[in-house]
Amino acid sequence: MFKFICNRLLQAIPVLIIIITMTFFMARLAPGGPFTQERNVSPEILEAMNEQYGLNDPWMVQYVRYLGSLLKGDLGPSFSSPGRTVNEIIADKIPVSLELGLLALTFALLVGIPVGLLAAVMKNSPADYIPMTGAMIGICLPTFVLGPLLALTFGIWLGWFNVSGWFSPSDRILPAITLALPYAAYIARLTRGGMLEILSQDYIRTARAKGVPEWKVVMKHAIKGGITPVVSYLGPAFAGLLAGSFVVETIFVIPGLGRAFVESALNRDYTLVMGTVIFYAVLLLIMNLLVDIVQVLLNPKLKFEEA
Amino acid sequence: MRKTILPAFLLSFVFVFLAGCGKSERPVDVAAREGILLFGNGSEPQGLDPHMVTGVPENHIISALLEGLITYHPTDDNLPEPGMAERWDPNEDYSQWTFIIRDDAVWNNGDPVLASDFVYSWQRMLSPLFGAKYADMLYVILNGEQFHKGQIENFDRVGVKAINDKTLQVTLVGPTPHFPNMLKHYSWFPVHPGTVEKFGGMNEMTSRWTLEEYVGNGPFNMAEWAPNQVIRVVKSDTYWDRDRVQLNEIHFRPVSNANTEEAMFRNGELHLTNTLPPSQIAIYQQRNPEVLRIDPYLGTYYYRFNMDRPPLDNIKVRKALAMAIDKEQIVENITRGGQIPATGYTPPGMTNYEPLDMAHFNPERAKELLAEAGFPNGEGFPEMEILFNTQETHRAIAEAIQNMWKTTLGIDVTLLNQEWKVYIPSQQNQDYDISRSAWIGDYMDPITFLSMWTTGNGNNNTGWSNPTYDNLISAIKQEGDPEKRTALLHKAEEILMEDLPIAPIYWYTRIFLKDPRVQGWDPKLLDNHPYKYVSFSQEG
Repeated sequence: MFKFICNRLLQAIPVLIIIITMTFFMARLAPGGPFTQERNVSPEILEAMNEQYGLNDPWMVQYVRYLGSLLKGDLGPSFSSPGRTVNEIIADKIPVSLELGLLALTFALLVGIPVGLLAAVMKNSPADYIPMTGAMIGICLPTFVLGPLLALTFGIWLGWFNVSGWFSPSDRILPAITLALPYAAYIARLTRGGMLEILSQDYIRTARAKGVPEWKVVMKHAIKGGITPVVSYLGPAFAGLLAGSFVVETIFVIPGLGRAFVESALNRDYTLVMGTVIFYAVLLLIMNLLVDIVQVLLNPKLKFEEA
Repeated sequence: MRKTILPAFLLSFVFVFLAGCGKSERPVDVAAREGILLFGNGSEPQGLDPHMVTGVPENHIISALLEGLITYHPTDDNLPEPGMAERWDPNEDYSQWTFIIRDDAVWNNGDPVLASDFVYSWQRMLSPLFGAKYADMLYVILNGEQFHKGQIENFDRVGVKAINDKTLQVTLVGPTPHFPNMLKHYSWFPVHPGTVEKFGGMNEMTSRWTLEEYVGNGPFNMAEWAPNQVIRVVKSDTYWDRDRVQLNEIHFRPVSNANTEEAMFRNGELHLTNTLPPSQIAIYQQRNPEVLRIDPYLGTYYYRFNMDRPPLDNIKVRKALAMAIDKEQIVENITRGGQIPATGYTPPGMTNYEPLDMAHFNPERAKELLAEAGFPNGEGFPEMEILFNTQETHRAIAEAIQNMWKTTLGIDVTLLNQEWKVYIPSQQNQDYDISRSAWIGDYMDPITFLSMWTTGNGNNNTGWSNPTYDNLISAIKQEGDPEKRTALLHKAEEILMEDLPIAPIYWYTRIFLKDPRVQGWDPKLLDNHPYKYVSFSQEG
């Protein structure tokens, strides 16, 4: 297992380098720059600012310099928030995004798995059709519709929650649910599919033939294999929850990383673009690695050397 | 049956949890009682250093933390209100001004505010190494431009001098009767020299003084800056006019999404919003007119013509295009927020300056002009493109104009939207045919609108050049007699409206929601509301 992890980490290095290089040059290829603004800035001022941030040097020089400071763990100064560093901005937002992502993931699992199980066990009954139709709608309903809808219902009409901010624990609920519902729906479908496949296996029939109670068949024998698709989905799902929270963060005014990510691109804040992309790339690589490990642990047919 | 127990249990758990979160009192009610203003402030400020920033949200916060020599009047932006200066005197032709700084003016760390603090601050603004984006505001100071461009290295030669601790003398390049109005802008605000020096000196672009130790001289002090979340300022007990300040705190909430902001207001989370989606205006007019505010605003929405691209170099073509725009229809059906169809470029509201009444909708004349230009019924007119930055309202307006030009003039234009940071360089490099634009005045004088149209000005971007206009603008900068000056300003704008490198469309309004309890928030053309006059009424 140790060898497996080392191998995978080594493979990740070239991937990261490619991502860093592409992002670095693509950000600079985009029209406009960090100091582009409507009110014209005199060439003297632009010159002074470019000099300060080292943007006057050729791209290759900037690139090598960036890689150098990256090796030291320094992501550089932010262009759009003078005085702040990218390290600081990301560190400031990670806890918020992690909390939102974990809450959403928990919610998605707590709702998605039971609904999927139920649908699988009661296949082709209303308990299957209704939740699965709901799940299909959940997948299709974009968060920018779902979010305001929830805010309107539970905030303005019922008066239970604030519709913005990240101050009190209750402020977490609406955004987490908004973010989680499409994932919950997808998890429900995955669970149902996985369970149906397992429930038709021979060993399940054997268990039933031996008189094992149905709930025990499902909860003890089938579930382990049945939720394997969900487990492999967890990695990308978690990364997606973290990186894809831009809309939810904007709707509910949450100071998370998703907004920093999108806004940095709009602002041409090169260093912040780089910082967030690298963070998400690393996160995705780690998540996929963890998922592979868990999958091997869950499925005795797989071995680390083959995975 | 058994299998449904788990989901049912979970569901009931969620509902019990949800029900437990009920709110008894809305945040606005609590805040109003405690004297805390909850303010929707648009986007997250990029910084709070008055010499670095350029945006409106930044301005809202900085004007709580810092105060210049002269400050905004609570009801009329044309009038000066004493700030750090308790009095000021111009010389005969308004080219030299003396300011007496009040004795009780102090920084919130206890240091007195000195005349030399202003000299230091303005040197910082003009320092070629610092890169202040509003440095050209200070070009009105004698030798300010030369120092900023590195032609003079000794700041002593720039026209600003501390005669003693409390007397500041400013010599300008020429007569400037509106100088007090310029001074209200944050680019003239002082910073605390000791603090700026402590954090790397006046030329440090990435200084952290605003983040770590915000030393201010305004009615409020920085208490908390949680990025993308809230900026909290609390009443200062060292501010000279502290007895007038009634609010205890202001919470600036960065809310970039107008629909979210409206929901927050409705849910009792904000006393004031920054804006209101156009689609909601009619609803509020009907159902909640008491919270809707539509105030005039010193800004103009207009279209630029690229004069380097024929046939837009033909004045008849430009006139035809401008006259075929039914502005009335645009403000009534698209923007719907009480905007005024612009008949000139400079918006109304400035004392002693009546806006021009020249640019009118005239479809018949437009047709004739286009025919005279060689394109009867639009025949042979080349395909043109309207450029605008990606936004719903800009698109709707462009589509309306596209349609008006098609039906009235018989010409076809296409639409091109670009993301902000792509659109700006397109406009600045004159890489467009016709481009949606806007200008918001920096201070109360027509020159803030008219000086940008001189030949080669960095904000002109149309290729328009008229020597008579350029001479007039220079003459205005040398005219000490206010009446003659106004006449010259009118003359200049008439030339602009005669040549029409631009087609004015409407004059802006500020549309926002305000809790009726908030008092002292008067309509202000520059949207500056001195917080020391703001309070909550008792009832409600």
